[in-house]
Amino acid sequence: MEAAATFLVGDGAKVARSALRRFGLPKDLFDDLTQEVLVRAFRAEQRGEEVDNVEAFTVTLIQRAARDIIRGHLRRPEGHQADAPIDAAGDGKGQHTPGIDTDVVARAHVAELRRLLAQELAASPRQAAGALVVLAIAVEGASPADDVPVPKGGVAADEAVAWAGVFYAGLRDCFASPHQPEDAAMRKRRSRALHHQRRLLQELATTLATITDDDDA
Amino acid sequence: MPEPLIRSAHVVGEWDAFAHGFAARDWTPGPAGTVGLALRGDVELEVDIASPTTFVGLWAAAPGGTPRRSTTQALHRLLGPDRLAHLLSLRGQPGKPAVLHPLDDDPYEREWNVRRHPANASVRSPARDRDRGVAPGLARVALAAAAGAEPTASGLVRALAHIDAARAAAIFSPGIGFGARARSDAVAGAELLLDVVRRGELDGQPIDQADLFDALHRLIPLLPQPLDREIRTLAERTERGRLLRDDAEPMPAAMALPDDHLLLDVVPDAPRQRPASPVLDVLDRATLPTELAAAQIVVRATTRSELEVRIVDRARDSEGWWTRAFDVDDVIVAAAPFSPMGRDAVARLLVPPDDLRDVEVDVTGQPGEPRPSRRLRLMNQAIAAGRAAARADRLGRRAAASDRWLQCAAAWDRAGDPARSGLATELADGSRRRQITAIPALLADAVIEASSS
Repeated sequence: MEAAATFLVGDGAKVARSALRRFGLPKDLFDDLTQEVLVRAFRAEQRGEEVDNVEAFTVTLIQRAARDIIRGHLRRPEGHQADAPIDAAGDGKGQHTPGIDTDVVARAHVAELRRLLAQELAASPRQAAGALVVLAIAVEGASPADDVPVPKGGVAADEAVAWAGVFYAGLRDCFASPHQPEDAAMRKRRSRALHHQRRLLQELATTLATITDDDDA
Repeated sequence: MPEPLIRSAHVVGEWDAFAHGFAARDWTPGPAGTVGLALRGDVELEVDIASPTTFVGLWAAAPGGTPRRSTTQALHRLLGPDRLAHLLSLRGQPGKPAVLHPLDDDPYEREWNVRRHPANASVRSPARDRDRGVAPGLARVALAAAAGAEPTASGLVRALAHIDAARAAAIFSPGIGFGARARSDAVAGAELLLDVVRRGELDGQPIDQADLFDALHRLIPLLPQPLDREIRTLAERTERGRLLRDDAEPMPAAMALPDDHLLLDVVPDAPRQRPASPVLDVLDRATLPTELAAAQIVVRATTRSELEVRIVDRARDSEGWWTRAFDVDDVIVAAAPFSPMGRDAVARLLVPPDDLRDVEVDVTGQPGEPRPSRRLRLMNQAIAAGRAAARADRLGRRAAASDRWLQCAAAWDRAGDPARSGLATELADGSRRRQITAIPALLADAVIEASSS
């Protein structure tokens, strides 16, 4: 994978441009083509394929990808990735989870945050999906559906936004249902999920602030 | 010696030192894209869908710099001895393409090569005007193989595609591995067709009886026993059905099999309740995973900020699939995993209310993987419209073909390719028709057309 990426920066780039030209494809599909090649190389690595000659292997991938583009075959994932489990190392066990501080998420920065979350979907998809829900509610005025669980009364009511994020991110086993009554284990799972979601949002806000500072400088 | 199967006047050859192989090409792929045809000896031929006899290109692998014997044989059959020798001689000049020798035994080519001289640039060649690039039979095998390989192809479509490919491949003399291909396609097609007949799925299908009868009869010599007897019986019934009719119109194939004891009763699924919320046409079908290409996927707006994405009858394999929503600037606004709900796989996306009707939704197994660029997606739409237009052309449905070529032209225009957009427009108004050698409709074309309409 790394060897393929290195080759694509050097001679592989010439091969990719040549392949685009050969099939009458526009030059600005270069990024799509190289991205596709890297994805295929990554999958080959995951399948445990052994590659003797990385250059020949990568060139073959480039040519196949260019042909697939003109044959109208966009990338179609083979199988799916294992979902990242909720990180059990969190320190939010049984603690009260405060509401998400939306002040750190200025509306003007929402698009940039979403781009960062799109990348985060690769590493921790459920947390990133939950963070997108929080942004939609807190900044864009989206309303969760009636059947989305909400905390009962008191300070915990502030957490409704975070609960919705966890629910829409598919972590249904964090909430009671007719088939699954609430118990201590469920509360623990929910607490961890909320904690990790909040931490992800704060990390993103910090990253965004760094990017903004760099731009200003 | 049989004549070369590629008789394009102007073929450019090249040795690719990186990929270790020989490439030859002529025309840039047209507005409907191409299909590939794998031949013996790691030779792959690229066929233009809008104009299937137009030679686009070929690739021949030569690991270590020397082509295998089977590769040389296939190239010899495709290009002829002179062009083969010239192509192989290019190995010493990597990255320097050269126009391969003309086919001097052909008076058309001689005339064309005289006229092609810069001094005669204004003279157009009749040979060039009516493209004579790839043997029509070869193009037909490529189109049939591609129709059967589509992830959305039903059992019947795959059966008919194999049968068509076997029928077309059987006529070729040795050299490109079509003897073995015809036999394997024949067996695959026969087995799939018998399976379809047993399940009663031939009912009401718009298959031309005469064409099916002809195809089945050509299949019989390629089949082992007892498959040949079963196909002979099927062919005889098909013919009886055809002769019972006074007119020559296509009729449902199963009408020819009224007493078929193999037919099984199939109980259709009972209709299921669906939410009454409006269905939105926001799903990006072009990038659906292969496993879901044929799935029924419905997107509904369930509240002012919630979208429900439902994959019908896929509860059991819902694990691992994700759906994402993107705004008009291609920025992700929501992502959610699918989970089982009754018989379906369902995901719910919470999106900003202002974006609800403008988002585009995709389904993926890799939620962290970036989307293809907008331009690539538009190109894919254009190619899909072009393929549908070419199919309508083959079926002789001019009005439908013209509409689809216009859609294809508009999509190429949006994708920033005015050349292909112009070609599609010429195909829509018919002005380019005389330059294209028509390929008769595939057996599967009418079935695909009926299922997609």
